[in-house]
Amino acid sequence: MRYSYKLIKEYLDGVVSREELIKYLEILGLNPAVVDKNENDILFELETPANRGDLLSLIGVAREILPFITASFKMPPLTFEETSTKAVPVRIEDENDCIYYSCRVVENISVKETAQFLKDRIEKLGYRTSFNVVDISNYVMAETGQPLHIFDLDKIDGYIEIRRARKGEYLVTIDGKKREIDEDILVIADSKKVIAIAGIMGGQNSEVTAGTKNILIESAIFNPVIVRRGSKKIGLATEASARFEKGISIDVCKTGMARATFLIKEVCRGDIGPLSESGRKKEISPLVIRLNMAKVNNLSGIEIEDGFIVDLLTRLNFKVKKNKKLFIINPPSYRNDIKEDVDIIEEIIKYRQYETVPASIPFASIKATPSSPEVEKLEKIRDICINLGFTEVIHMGITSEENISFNKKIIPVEIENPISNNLKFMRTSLIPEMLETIRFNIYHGTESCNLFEMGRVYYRGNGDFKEEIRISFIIVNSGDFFTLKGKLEKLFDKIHIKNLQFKKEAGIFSIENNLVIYVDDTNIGDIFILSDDIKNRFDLKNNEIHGCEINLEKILDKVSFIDFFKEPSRYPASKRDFSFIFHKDIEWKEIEDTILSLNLPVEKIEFFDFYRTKDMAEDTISISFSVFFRSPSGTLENEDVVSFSEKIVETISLKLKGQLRGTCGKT
Amino acid sequence: MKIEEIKQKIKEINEKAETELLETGLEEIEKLERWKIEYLGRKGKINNLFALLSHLSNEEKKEAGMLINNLKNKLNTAYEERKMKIEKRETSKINLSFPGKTTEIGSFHPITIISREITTIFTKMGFGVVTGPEIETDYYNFDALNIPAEHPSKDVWDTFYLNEKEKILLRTHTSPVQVRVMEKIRPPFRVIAIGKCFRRDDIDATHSPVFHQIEGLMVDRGINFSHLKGVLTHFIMEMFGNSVKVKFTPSFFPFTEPSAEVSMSCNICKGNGCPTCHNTGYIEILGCGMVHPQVFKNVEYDPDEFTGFAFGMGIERLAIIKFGITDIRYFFQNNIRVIQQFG
Repeated sequence: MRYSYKLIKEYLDGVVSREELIKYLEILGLNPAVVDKNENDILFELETPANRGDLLSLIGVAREILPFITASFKMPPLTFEETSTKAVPVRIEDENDCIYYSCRVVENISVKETAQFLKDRIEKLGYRTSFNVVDISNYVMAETGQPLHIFDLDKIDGYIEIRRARKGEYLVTIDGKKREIDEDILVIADSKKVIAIAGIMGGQNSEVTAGTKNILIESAIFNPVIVRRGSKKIGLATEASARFEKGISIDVCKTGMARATFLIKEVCRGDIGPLSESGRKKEISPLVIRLNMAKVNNLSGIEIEDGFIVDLLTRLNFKVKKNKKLFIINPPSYRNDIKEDVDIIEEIIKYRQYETVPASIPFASIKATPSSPEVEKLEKIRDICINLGFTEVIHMGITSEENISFNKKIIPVEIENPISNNLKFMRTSLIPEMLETIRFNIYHGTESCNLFEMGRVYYRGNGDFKEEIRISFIIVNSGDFFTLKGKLEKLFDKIHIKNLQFKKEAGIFSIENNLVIYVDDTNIGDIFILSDDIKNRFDLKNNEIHGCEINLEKILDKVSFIDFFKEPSRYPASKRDFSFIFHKDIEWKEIEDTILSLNLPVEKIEFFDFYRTKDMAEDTISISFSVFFRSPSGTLENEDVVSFSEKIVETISLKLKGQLRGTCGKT
Repeated sequence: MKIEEIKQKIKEINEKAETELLETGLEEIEKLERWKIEYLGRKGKINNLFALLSHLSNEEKKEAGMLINNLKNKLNTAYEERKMKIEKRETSKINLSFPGKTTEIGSFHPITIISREITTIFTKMGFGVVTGPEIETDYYNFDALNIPAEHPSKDVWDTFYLNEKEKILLRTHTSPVQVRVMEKIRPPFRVIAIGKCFRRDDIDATHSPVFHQIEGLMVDRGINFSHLKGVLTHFIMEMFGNSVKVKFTPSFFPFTEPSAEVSMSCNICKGNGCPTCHNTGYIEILGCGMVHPQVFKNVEYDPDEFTGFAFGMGIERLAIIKFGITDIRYFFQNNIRVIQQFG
């Protein structure tokens, strides 16, 4: 809402400058934002906390700054005389829905354009002016925080009832819209029809018009939750509903009624009838809060004098009694945010000013709280990825239906209330968003890149919602499949994942050129040459793209970074190169395993080439690799290495039908 | 041909070769190579000399052969020396001002950079890093944090529901991790949690339905508001430098009481007022407060025994302030030319 310095000052019996007012509101964290400023006045808006409905009023703001100043609070005039006996009976269907309802008849008023003095005020507060009675109801809401409604009495039949709407009922609200209403909506009705949606908006059928002679003023308290649900359901939020949702006290409700009656009498004349009320007519006995002095100091970290607390709370209209080290406190009824001692402690520190509390470092145990081991492992993996030349990307993880359509076996997680169709599903794989990013970057001139993402995917399993941490790699126009595979093998080497196996099986992003990655027989992910079909779908034709996606949760407990020290052999190594011709479908793993099975002093086996030439038989391939021999216990003689090599050649030709093309190397 | 004639020939070739070698000059290696072919090539002048030996006696053959071989070795050495001289000259001719060959290395996403910077500051103060699920329940996201079910204070967290009936949602903040941690461990402890959060905000320059948050929680006996100020002031100064001014003002969060909003002097205009700080000279960077007793009760901690503080901040927002990034959409656009600026 809009506030005016001049209007607030009317409730203060004393001096406060407009600069002071703004400064105090800043100290209180209400972040005043000035919207207009002239020599007479300053108009501003505030960020009021959601639990401070009382601050949505000029009176509330005046009260809020009282502790900073010497002026006292001055209630605006509320007194008038009842001059008629005309009343409308009121009945509440359920006092849970409507806590309190009051209304008053005023007869023989003159409804006309608002007088200039009131018009000026209404405009300052940012409302549009209307007829005098309507302007008064808005003004009183701004003053007191109590939303009011004014009905044309002559359009009401019989009595007033506060009840739930019935199925099939509707109301044309004063904004001209027809609102379908049902049992979830609380309404004001007369003996024949619905005349207002309680706490939200009145109906056209009972609206004040130029010809109105007699009116009914309503001041009530509706259940905040019912108003909130109703406002959401019919999609209509008003200044009134915002205030009801935050809760209103009976005192405020009565003040609102009195103030409105007073102003109507002053401005529109008329005969004032008696108050009709229903519901809980008095505040429940005021809240009693016990505040321990020690707790104030313990929680704030500073010594606060008793006198400061008593003065402060008294200025804020709290009742305070001191009993040794204990304060017994009754907050005023309009402060429904104050529920327990910490709420009062906040008031104390707030007015003592946060800035005056010194910053100090807590005395804490030297023993740090350990981080979760998973977090540390994931961060180290992230480091390795950067070292391997991958640039990190992060995607939203909320994506389109198209992007989750690749894996038909997974049940996706769908958002019930998405903001758009493109952001409707939770991703089931990291790859599709990655491909969109690649398209974006190619379009913007970055044609080759190596990317990775570490993030969660989501799916439904056994009726539950599941999420798992994955990592994906993509290389675009910057190497072949084996470039990616090599980087991946290096990663696994660095995180000490052993027993890695690649099996050629169909995958989601390539049916033909996909390897499923296994660790100890557990499927942990895929590495693939992106299929042309998917490339086309992402508009990535003619780009060389290789990808990989791994479920990190399946390997995280096996990840480690330091092995126990192994004494390196002091003896020299010997290297032999071999070239064999194999059947083209030979698995590298078989070659490796065959050599290792010989139990020779092999330090490592390094693949370095494969090729086919025209002179070779069809269905064959030539594979070249180096074997490094090294013994932990002595220098290997040339004869030893020759005999090892012979053994390798013999076994490979026997077991794998490998035909030796050549061997070379020196000891 | 007689041996004397052959000897004479060897001598002539020797002299001629040496003269011509000097004439090849040092500028062009091709001339040297041509010289090599002329004299030392397979059909070169030296090899041709051997053909002349056929008519000599064995004794003479041996003598002449040795002379030819000596000449061959001598010229070979001369050739090598000459070649080395040329190459040395060639090397010194290289223009070293050309740029080096680039090596592709990866870059962290700015969100990771900021997260790690924050993590480092807090882990130095003994905080541990923990995580929690992104798919949450109403209970952890709201109820346990003292956020009333149907109250306007819930409006800040406009929520994506995955199943509203079963109260399954995407967490709107990292605060549910607080509750999950407290359910598992007893004080004293201090933790931070980092992760993705989701809110039903339309995308614009300052809003994104997905963003990252970092959450902190310290619980012990005797933790107070002054400690909260101390720890967070230290954090902000580590992050933005010792010259920033830090301001704590009252705020409202259902899960803390008292609550505060922390702002620091705008690092863009140095406090003079600019669009980023809405001309206030200060920018909000985080929300914090003393843990509300009700939150402690919800996890069966005794609020009379333990107190604690909690804080939360948006990582994108911090990155925007720290790096001067102008639009939150850059974070999820993944423009490589943007990411690679940050290392």
